[in-house]
Amino acid sequence: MSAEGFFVDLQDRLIARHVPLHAQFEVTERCNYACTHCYLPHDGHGELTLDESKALLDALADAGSLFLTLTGGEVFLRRDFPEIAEHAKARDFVLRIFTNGWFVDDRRADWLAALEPVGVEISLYGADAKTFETVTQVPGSFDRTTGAIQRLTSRGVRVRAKTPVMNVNARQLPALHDFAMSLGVEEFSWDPLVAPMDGGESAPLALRPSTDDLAFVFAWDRERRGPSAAPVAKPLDAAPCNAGRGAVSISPRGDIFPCVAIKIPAGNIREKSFAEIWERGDVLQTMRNITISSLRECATCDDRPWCPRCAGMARHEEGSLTAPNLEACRVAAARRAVAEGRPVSDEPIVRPGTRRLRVIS
Amino acid sequence: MTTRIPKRQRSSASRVIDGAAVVIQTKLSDVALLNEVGTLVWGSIDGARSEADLVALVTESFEVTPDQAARDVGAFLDELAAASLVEFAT
Repeated sequence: MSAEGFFVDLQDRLIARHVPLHAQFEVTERCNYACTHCYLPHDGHGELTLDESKALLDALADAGSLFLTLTGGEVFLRRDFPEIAEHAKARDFVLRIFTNGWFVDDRRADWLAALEPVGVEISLYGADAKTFETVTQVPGSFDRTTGAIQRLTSRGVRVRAKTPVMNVNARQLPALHDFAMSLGVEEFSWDPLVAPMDGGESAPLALRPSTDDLAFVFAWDRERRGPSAAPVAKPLDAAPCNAGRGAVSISPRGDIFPCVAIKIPAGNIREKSFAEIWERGDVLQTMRNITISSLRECATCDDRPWCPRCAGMARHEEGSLTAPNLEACRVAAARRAVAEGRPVSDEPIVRPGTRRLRVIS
Repeated sequence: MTTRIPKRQRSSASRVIDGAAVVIQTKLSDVALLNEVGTLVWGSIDGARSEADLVALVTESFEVTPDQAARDVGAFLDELAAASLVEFAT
């Protein structure tokens, strides 16, 4: 068996036993960008201290977490972020760091290169300053972010550039891909879903791409990658995702969530140990009992193999962790139509049993 | 050979789960699952212990002759080095 195949097998076995293999720690909610689509409020309600952060990382390591993402907010707004990252490295995590790049000058680029994270991820919303700064709302941010990417890639740091597909950048995606690759990134990835803010505030939804935009990006991607076999749906007894099973998210204040998109606290590490919360937290038990067959309409939906459904978005928009998410329905229908060479329909998506029926455009 | 002092590469990562170490070379995306002896040796590589120290540790912990332990630990460290998981100082 190849190393990759071996590890998938090993990973599946560990996740089935609820080892929190993948952890994401939001070290701060503070951010110097004001991205129009961002799901995270930046008002801030306190942060774990450095000692508390280190103790959290120790507890995660003891629980079996191996893959750790440090994210924000903007991580470098914490002055002690390097100490948190160094501690994570000392505890032998496969470390990934999300940053907007603003603070990555030569000194920090040298430090990141020496740290040897498995990767640094930086959002790149546009191939030009006008598009990029329409999203970030910070003049000069395009130069700062692209400069950071170049500083890191020139030092051998593996950088992934990424963006959500929005109505402001959907038609630019091919040019954005080429621009990102020209900066030396290892990979450029994009996500067709734009989520509401934590708490359900819907301002980011105005940025969702139109159905025509989705058809455009899926057609571009299909042409770029070439023909491929149709995706295969997971079996009905499989978990829809790893949230709460093999994945965990921790807020800046120490709240434990199943996932960064499902902000239902299972407990707080200032009140209980991580091990106790991970074993007994109510929402974690709930997530572990959800299978594809629990998803009612989704379980029998023909578009399921193409669907990027997110339980967190379903909770925000449809009020239930197990409801269909109509935005995911729209994306799945567009992706499938393009894959099958059919025109993409802009008809309303109507599924029996959903709380809201509407046209999304 | 036993004067070698192995040190973990900074691009390695690992976790012991149920007594077995999962070891990853993050630059190459290579993964290994170590057995009980390999897990003991890997967990004892700290940049200070020499190969001879590791052989002694294995001899103390398992029913194995010093000669056999020396051969096995040496071969294992060579494998780790070939996989870019450790480097040596002398």
